[in-house]
Amino acid sequence: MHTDSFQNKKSELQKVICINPTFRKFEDTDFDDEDYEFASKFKQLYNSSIEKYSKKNKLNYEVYSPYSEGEKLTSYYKDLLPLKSAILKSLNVQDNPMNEVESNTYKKEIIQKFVVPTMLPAELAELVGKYDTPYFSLVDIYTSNGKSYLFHVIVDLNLGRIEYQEIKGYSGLVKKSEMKMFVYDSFYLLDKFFKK
Amino acid sequence: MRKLILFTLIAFSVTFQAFSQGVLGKKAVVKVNLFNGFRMPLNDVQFEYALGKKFSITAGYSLLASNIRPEYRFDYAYNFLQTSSQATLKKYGYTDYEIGYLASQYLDYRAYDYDDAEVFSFPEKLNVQSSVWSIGLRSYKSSIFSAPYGRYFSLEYLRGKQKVTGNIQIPIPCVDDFVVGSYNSYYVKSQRKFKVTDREINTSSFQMNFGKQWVKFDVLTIDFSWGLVYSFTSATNKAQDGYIASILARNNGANFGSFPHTKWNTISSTIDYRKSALGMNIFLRVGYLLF
Repeated sequence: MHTDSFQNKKSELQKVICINPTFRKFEDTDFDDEDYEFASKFKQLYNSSIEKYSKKNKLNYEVYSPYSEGEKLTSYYKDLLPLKSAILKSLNVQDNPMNEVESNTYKKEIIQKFVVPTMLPAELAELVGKYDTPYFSLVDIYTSNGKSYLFHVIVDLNLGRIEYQEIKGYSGLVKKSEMKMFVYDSFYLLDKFFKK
Repeated sequence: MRKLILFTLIAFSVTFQAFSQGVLGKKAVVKVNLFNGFRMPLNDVQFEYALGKKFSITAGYSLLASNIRPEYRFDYAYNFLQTSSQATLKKYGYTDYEIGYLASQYLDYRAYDYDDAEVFSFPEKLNVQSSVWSIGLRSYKSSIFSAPYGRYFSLEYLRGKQKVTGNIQIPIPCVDDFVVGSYNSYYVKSQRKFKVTDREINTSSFQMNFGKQWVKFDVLTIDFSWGLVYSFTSATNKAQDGYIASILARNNGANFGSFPHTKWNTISSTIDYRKSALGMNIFLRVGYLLF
């Protein structure tokens, strides 16, 4: 079990655009064999939990996903998918618990040689005006036979960096009740951080 | 009450952490025990409140009525001898010689060989009404999710009274004239009945449990635990209650065995007939997350 979080700036959090909250379940620890049926059952509940518990903690989260309709759907594919990809890439070069593998010598070497600050491409700053907020977030859960991870990331596109990051590891399969607790705790913690 | 306040203060100082949000924002649970009373679950209620991320305190009250058919050993009869007055013994047909001999023997506890104790079963059931308060501290294992969720270890102290009503049958021990002087010289002469009504026996226990608490449907909790209990019973009335206390020691959740502490108190010149017992217990509690 692991908890890891940091926050760069203590300011009031305005509107946050949440990019396609993802719940993924893998049958093995190598993240190869994915259980889509299980994940699809959870998808709706997961999205609604994010909306419910963000509101409960007085955080303005707006969810954009492939299941959105109209303009939201278009902007998801046009703007937010490339942003999500950029955030995931920046997370991938971090030395965080999710990137831990049994023989991680190779990975560590790469991080040492090619490590870059978790900066996001400057051109993505255009999205700030379009969405009326600099804050964009990912709230994803990965669960496999051995471990489950939740990561909650908020980026500030004005500064082009990760503003808030929380990674939680749990030794077990995340079921409905655990998933809800994961999401609730994450928003509770976020609320506490930004109100201090 | 002072002990309760002190316990709470210690628990607070040990467990307070900045990060304490409970399960889905709820820290208090009220629970009923299903194993002890499917018919009357509301008679065994427990309240739990999460103090920090890993700790919670519990307080409970159980009011249970049960009919027990206890097994008793010859040592209970031996206890009867110890706790009965000379007049009582005469009432049960003891001769002066027997009383004198038993008085010289039974106060020395080693005189009785427990390996040879005979086991009798009661022909009639006894009605026991117990009212017990409890207070406890729980330590939860999971460091990701907050209490009251996950696996835990709990320590609990219980205290209360048991009221006994029914017919009690005592095997009357007697001295065999032919083998006087040997350790196994008692035999059962006859069995006598006497009736008890609302006889109060004090009881207190220490419980050490391991368990797991699940949360379902956001508000429902299922709490399963098992562990050891060490209980004491002591009588307030010195006539025949010591004998009843001995019987209840084995029927107070302590099913492994009972240990008599009967001994002669040289200071007060009285017999101390407190009994303790060790056993295992299992709980299945269903609860509701309040706030």
